[in-house]
Amino acid sequence: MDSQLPLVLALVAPLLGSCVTGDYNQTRVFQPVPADAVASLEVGRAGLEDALSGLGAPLQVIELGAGAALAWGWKESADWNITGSANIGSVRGRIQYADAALEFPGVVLFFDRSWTLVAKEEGFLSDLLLKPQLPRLVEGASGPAGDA
Amino acid sequence: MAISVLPGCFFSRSRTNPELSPELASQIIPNQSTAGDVTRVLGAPNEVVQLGLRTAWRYEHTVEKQSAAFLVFLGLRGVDTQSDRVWVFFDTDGNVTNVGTQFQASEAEYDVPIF
Repeated sequence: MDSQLPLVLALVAPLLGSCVTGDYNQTRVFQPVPADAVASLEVGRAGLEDALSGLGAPLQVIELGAGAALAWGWKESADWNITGSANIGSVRGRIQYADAALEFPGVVLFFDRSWTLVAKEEGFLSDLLLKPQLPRLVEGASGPAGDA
Repeated sequence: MAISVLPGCFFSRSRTNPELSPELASQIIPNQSTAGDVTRVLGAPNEVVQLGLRTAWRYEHTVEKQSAAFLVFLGLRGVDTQSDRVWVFFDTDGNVTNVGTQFQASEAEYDVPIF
């Protein structure tokens, strides 16, 4: 054992000036909507009232062409953030590891102009809401209008 | 010096916007209430979304509770954000057609994670 001591000291010595800290973060933002309520909404039949009574108030309402998209989202995550630093000789090093989840899972319901459900999608809101938006409808516009 | 390495903890609570309640929201009645009625009951909305010539108004009250424990080189932190939210949908004449509500702000919890 005594013969190994110098080797152990040589390995440990550079680490004496080091420091490792860790953060464990648990995050909950809003609450998931009931899966059975989402499943019960039938495309082509369900309306705005069905969606609001089953899922509650949405997180976002977005104009989409002549219709609209309503999004419900929530997040429940636990992540680590570990930072280590060490002084080895005259060199100072620092390393960081983080596994924070950035995605926000949710449900998006797409409605037509008469508030009939035309599509429903589940996934990450960042993916679902990045779809190209249709041109905005200007109701009642029959053509270029001049100043009266 | 010694104090700096002692364990510690903290709790914080933050709120955004005035509280909403089912009683207030129930005063907004589809096919009866108007935009004027809604502003009298709930005040100015946090967001107005244009939907063609129709609109939807969002009211939101958020509570965030945060708690943490520091154990020398390890920090444990829990954040819980919940909200009361009301969306009011109007027709082209400013009459209420639909109301969507959820009241979960009171369910926000202090929770230091123990894994």
